[in-house]
Amino acid sequence: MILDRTKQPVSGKPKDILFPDFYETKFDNGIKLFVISNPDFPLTSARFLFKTGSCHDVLTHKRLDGTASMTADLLTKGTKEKSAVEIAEIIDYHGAVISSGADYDASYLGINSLDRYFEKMFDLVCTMVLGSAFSDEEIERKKLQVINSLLSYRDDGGYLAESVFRKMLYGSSPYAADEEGTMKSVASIGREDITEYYKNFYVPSNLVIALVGNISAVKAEKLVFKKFGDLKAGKIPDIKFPELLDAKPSKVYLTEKKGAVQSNIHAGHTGINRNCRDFVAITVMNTILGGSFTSRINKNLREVNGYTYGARSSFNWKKYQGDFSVEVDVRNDITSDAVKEIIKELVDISVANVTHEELQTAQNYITGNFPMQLETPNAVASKLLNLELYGVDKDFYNKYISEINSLTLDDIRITAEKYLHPDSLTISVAGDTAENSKTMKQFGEIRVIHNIDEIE
Amino acid sequence: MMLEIKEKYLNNGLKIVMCKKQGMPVIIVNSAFHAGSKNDPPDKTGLSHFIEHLMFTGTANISGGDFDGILSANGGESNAFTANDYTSYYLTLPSSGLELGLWLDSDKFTGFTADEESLRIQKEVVLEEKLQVHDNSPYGTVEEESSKRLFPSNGYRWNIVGSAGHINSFTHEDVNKYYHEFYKPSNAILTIAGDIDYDVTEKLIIKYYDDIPGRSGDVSGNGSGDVSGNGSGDVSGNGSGDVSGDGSGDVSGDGSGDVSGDVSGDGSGDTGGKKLLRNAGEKKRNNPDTHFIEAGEEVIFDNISLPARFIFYRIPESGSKEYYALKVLSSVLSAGESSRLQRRLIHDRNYANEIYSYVSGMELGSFLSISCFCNEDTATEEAGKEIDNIIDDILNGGLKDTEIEKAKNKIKTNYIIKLQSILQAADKLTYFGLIRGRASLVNEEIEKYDAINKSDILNTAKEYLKKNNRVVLNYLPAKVKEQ
Repeated sequence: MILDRTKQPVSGKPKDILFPDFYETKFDNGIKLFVISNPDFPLTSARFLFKTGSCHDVLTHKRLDGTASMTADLLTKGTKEKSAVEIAEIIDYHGAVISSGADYDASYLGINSLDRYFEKMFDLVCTMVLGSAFSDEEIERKKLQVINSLLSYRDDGGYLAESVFRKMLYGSSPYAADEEGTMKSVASIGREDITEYYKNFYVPSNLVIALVGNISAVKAEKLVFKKFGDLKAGKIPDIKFPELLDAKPSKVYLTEKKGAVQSNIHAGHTGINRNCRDFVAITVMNTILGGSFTSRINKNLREVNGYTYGARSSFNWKKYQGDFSVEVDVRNDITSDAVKEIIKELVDISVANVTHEELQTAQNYITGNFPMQLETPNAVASKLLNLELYGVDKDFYNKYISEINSLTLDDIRITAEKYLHPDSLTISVAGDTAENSKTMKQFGEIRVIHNIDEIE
Repeated sequence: MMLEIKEKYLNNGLKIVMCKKQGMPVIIVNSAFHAGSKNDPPDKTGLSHFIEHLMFTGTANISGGDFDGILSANGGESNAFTANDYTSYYLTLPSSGLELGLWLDSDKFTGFTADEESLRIQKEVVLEEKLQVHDNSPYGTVEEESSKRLFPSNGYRWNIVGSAGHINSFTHEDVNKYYHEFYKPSNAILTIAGDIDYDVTEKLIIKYYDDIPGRSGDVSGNGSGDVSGNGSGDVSGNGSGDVSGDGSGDVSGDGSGDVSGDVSGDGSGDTGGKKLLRNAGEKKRNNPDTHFIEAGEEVIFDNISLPARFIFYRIPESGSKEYYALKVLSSVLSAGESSRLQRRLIHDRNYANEIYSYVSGMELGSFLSISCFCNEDTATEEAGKEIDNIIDDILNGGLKDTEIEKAKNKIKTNYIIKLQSILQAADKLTYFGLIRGRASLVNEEIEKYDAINKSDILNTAKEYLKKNNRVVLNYLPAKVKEQ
């Protein structure tokens, strides 16, 4: 019997997705604890998150960019009892995976290990949280590494385009800097800057902990209380941000990238912070615009025009300010054509022509893919830590699906009108500036950046 | 930690793997063909990868562009990659969409309907992919420069993406010829994993795949029965190149980053040769003097700031005992900060900004690679000397039992972390089923490593980690040349 393949089978109604159960408690000193118990795999992890990151570098005495990042990096590089080398030996011997670092809004330390070694590994990471050594030797080594990394990032056109975009859009905001700092600022960081950051921000009232995997809530709470229960709460200083304004009219920044055979385009404007009340509507609108493979921007630039391997738009939300950008790499001679198409898509989506089918597709796409984001207990923990960090209600994900499905075409149009500003773009392009200078004038006043040092 | 697996063949020769895995109500449909870039005609390099792209531009019942549209509209997503030895397609859907997923996937067997215009556009897309991945990327020529020297006489010698001249020349005839040779049930595997019921799934598989005509009798040269194969997984050490997970430990962004869950880096990692993804992923930063380079080593000038040294040793095919021994050794060399290479070159000497090793497993022969991105003022030969000293020390009996134990522990944890993900699990099942002959080998992987002892490692290392069996590329900043 030959099957009739012309008929598309109907997909059934997806099962309801429930956000996995978790345990939540807060100690008197302000430490927030989440426990996500899941015995399916013989793994347990501990994750520590301090709700301050590189944007708080400005609250230190010398205001050196990269201080938070360096502080977090150094947590694992030696404690009062053990050297960096000894720590690495212990972690590696037990097959555990450890990482630490800081981004704009948070500093973190995490370890994932086989459950049978977990308590031992937990003891070890607690000594890091409670008092890393920050030895001069390890500081100098880390500085050398970061400076070399920052140097190598410049070989990447995508980094240059993003970096210039960020600096030009954010201006005097703490979000303008690279999380890791500049070569110059990093070279100036001393031990006292790191210990100052540690002392001011690594305090219980600023700490969120998640214990995840094959561990019970009762046991997790006991472990955490034993280590951290007696600490004093502490208080972190407030931070203020300057008002962010978009370029008006649009501006073009062309950065020289040696030997470029492509232009890396990074264009956009101001966006939202994470607890924006239109967050869900923006997510759906952006999915239609450029947030998925079947989005308008990718369809236009890749599938219709063959300009690129892939194009995307995103709202890069942060805690206090965010931005919106479209990113795409295209061959040199079609740079301005690609920008034209991007602007066309930003305009089109605001003028009420999103179809019912497009909206339905976006809604189904997001809700259908949602369970994949909750697949591992650590992925669930990431979501909870984020909600806590950004001050979003814990029942956000319980309402998420129904909120997505309740959006109308009008909501999408209003959201696009409100949050997209196609006539106020900061357009950053890394590539062949001589060639791009000829074609990019049509979009706004051009500034050529020969070397990124000019703006750091 | 075992996966529950059912394997069988349909009458037309298609291999079926089903894996019920508790967790979220989602399924993976993963089909793969035992043909990759090594099967490109030498004057049509990039053809396998091009066909992977074309597969989405129209088959008999799904017209151009509809594949992804239908999938999105039903809450799914897809991607695909081409490796040296095979080509893999996967899609995710809510489990209620199983039948839809099988319908979409099985249409791959009905042939292309792509017109001239789709062909032209996909050529442009692939050419842009080539620019993005290779030509405009720092150290982007390493794959090409190493492959042609490592494997001068077989199909591993060219880039998966192919050469621009060849890509431009592809015709419908080229595409159809390749398709008919390799895209047939007896040369393919279908893996379904996730929230499934075995009986229902099997019935649906039979409905959509059983009437696909078998074309047995013309089994291709690398067809089933071949024990060796091609690894899957990700480039270890730097956590990139992975099917999913970005390993960046980021709690901001889209919230999918996982501080400790997705960090890879057991140093045993296997690139499965190289892989090229169909859809561009999230962009990643590429972290990455010499007037005394030894004879036989290559010097390549690039638009880079940090000098780098890439060392490649030819080693036996994936799945062999030697291959497992060298994967353990690779973990000893570079997994974790206490590993030999990281400890000496990053910590003790301050020579390297980043260093990692990995084994790239392929069925006609593999390689073990060490990549050392030096600090700006370190000469590559200086770093190279340290690396060679470490290897010499191991060859001379300096390898300690605790190092081996440590390497095995690392490999074990990372393997379990990987299998937590249904997509990664499906990827492994497909690989083992298609290339190594049996999907259930996925549950025997840890034993393979446990069986490796010190003398296995030493004997294998002595045999293969020899200077006359390697390719060394020194990448230098172009500005050095100008001076």
